[in-house]
Amino acid sequence: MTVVNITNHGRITIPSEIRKKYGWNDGDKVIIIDHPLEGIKILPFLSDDRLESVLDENTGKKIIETISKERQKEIENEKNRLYKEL
Amino acid sequence: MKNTIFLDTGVISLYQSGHETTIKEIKSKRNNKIFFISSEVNYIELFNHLCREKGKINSQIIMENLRRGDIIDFIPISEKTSILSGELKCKYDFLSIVDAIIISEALIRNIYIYTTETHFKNINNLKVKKINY
Repeated sequence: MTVVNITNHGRITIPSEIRKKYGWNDGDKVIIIDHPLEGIKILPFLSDDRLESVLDENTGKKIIETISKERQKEIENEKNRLYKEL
Repeated sequence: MKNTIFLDTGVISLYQSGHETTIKEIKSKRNNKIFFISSEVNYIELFNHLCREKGKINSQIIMENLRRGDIIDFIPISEKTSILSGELKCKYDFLSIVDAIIISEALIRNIYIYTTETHFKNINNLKVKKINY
């Protein structure tokens, strides 16, 4: 754990060992979120180009197919429940 | 709102996996000042599936970058949306809760919804574009 000061305009310095570990250099952007359970988190910023390739083709298709199946399953479960009640 | 398009979860997943046609379409529309929205329920759905594939930390990174970026705005569910979603779910028994919510968002705004699903074409007055992959 490292203690850092908050200076003017709310600036803090991310310790060099952490910057090194995550490959963060001067000028890089990060995202700061106030997580409802986990407190303040600093996440790496991804460019549009990077966001367009965070998944490989197969994983993307697998996600689409699983989502479709799960939406369908929800409807079938609901219908089965209704038939049982009748 | 005419210059807005609603993206379903599957289309966002295609965008994230480098699907050429989807990326081309999104970029061309953005160049023409057309904006993209999606629902917080799509955020939840995608986070869940990304988490299964890539773990929680990676999902947080990907989804928070998507939220903070300038490509898609995730919109919370309003009272109007809740009312219409309930009615749609009652009228069309082939819709899941997520389907009903996002179709409501598109109907309320009278905008196109881009989806990878096939059953949206059966909804009255819905402007839908099926994205093939």
